[in-house]
Amino acid sequence: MAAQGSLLIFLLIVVAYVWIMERLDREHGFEEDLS
Amino acid sequence: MGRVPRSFRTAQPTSATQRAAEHEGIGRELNVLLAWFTLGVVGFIVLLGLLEFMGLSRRWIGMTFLMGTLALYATIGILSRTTDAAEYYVAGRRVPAFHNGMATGADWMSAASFIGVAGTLYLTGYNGLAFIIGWTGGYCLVALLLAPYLRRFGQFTIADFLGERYGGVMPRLLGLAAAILCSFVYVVAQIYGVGIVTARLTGVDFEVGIFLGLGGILVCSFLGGMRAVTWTQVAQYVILMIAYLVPVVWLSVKQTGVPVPQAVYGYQLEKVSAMEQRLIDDPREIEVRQVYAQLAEQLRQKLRDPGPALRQERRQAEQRLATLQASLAPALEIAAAEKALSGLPRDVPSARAQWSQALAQAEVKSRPLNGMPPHAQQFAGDPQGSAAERSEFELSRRNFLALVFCLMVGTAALPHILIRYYTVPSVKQARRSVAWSVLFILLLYVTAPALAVLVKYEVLSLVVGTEFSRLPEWVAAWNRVDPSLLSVTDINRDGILQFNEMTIGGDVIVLAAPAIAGLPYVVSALVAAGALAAALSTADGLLLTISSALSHDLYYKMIDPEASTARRVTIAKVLLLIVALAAAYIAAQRPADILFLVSAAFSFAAAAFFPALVLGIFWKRATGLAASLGMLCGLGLTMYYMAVNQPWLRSVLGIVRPVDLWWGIQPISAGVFGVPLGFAVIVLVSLIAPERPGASRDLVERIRYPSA
Repeated sequence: MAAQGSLLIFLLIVVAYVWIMERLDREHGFEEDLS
Repeated sequence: MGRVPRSFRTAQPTSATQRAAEHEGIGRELNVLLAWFTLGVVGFIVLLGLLEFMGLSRRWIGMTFLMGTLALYATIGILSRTTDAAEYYVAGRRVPAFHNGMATGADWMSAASFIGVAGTLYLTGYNGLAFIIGWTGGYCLVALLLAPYLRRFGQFTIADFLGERYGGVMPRLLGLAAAILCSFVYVVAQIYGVGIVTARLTGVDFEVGIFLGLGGILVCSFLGGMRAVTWTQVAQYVILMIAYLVPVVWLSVKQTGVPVPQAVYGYQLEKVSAMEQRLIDDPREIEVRQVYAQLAEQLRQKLRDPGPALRQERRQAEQRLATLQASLAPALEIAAAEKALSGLPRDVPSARAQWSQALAQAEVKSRPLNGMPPHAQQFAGDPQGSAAERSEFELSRRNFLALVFCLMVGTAALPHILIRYYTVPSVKQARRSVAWSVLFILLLYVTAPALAVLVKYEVLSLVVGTEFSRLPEWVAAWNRVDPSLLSVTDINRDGILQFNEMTIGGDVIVLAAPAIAGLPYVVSALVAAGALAAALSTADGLLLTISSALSHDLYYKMIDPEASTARRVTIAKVLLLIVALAAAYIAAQRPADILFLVSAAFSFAAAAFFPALVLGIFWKRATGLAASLGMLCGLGLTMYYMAVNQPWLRSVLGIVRPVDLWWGIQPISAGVFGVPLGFAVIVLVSLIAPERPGASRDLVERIRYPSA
């Protein structure tokens, strides 16, 4: 079961990273173009 | 001209909002289409199940699955055809994050992942978890260190980034060579897997199966490049996940009554551990192990002086045949004696090889649990035991961590995975896409350990201890397919199967799971179609990586920078065909130890790409000379360590000096030395021979900072 735990932690790390980066983008007023 | 990604800029509410709304609308339409497609796949399976119930033969079910799925991929491939460079290389950079995550999941799930991971976990227990931890963890590195920045850079290949960032020909050329080295070995293994699965689905010869499968690969990628590959991979992901989940969910329901195997397999693992302990102490198992130990001793004696031993065996076999013929024995006995005589090794070298192989097998079978570690045991040895046991534990743990490191860093550096993040519309979508990728990959990887435990429970509770005459039908069926995948021998002649009398190959665990679970043949065909989807999706991604590297980085960037878009795409298609045929030809030769080479690809990718990519993104002072030397040194050390220590490479290269493992690290994890060396060389050379600030530093500013 420890393996499942580590995989979920990896997912949480990536999701947290995405969330934090998007919040930073919003805070600093950066929007991206969709090409 | 290819579409160049636009730079970050401060918010422009109207246009950005409109584009975002349009993008979301496309995403919603695709999701509806995906839901209908998934329902269609389920309906197709149910329909074939009904037809099986009504008497449709297994051969027809297999053929229908093969032809049905290939026709689906071909339709998507033809509908996605293109002659536009941006569409061909990066799907027009219009793939939504969710769908790119799904396509990455299929790109990632090779035949090795689909078939091999559960088998490895069945055979090695806890130690096999290094693969799923390393492979999934690699995506954290992709998310945090690479994908958003490569998307921001926004060209077509990884060698493109190295060429632009470091300048000059050498970094691009080394990137191109390393991408081909890693991807070609990998694609040969995928085509080999495609051949095996196609042959089993249809009953055709392996070589014919390879070229049938090759047709399947080419219809996905030839006409539409990345655009076609992306949408076929989305379809393939749906098929392979349904195929993987159906048998394991059914096994879980059968054993525990709960349809969530990932949540309940821990309970079954406790039972498996108790059964394993009983097997270790079982008198019949001990008897079997003793028989194998005696056999191993006899083989050791023969190997001490194989010449006389072979002559004596031949003399005895000839005498027995002569005696039987003289006494007018039954024809069957005479035929058996003739077969035994003709089966003897031809000469001393082949006798040595044959007996060495038999000795290795007998030694494994003379150990408890068929030489497998108890399923829940962490590492070999004992941290509380004797000095030797503590040392074994330490070595085993060190190798586990080294393998996790290499697989993690190698995953983050594999070109066919990284280029998937060029296909999304923006940096934000690239970040989200990695998160979706991890989720879709995780779905399979949290299921594989459950499947391994549930199948082991089934084998230990229903097969071991059964009379040979009452073994389940699937045992004989898989033995007929290939004895190396599954065989049983009543070595102690008690008429009852003991655990050590059964040899089971890792590849059979997933493929036989439906039969082990007692499911109808249609599910077995579905699993084979899932394995085919896994192999095809990865093979397509790899072939596209190689052909893009050759057509874009070599032809367009180095040979003919004036080439028109149409010419570049045509050359990419021709190269894709040539590479596919070359890989199929090599796969048809059944190359030895291909699985080792696939594992080695991770160490190669890690050592060649990871330091140069990461320092190229995060350290402005990294120079082109330093990157080239770092890539050469890292890759060189990795290849050297493998060549001097890996048994197959040693035999191929004729290396006879003793194996010299550094800190006991196995050659499969050679990247654990190559990666730090690559970093060290790039840092040192950059500091010793700095370059003037230039365009490459501006590039780092541009990809790192949104306001630049």
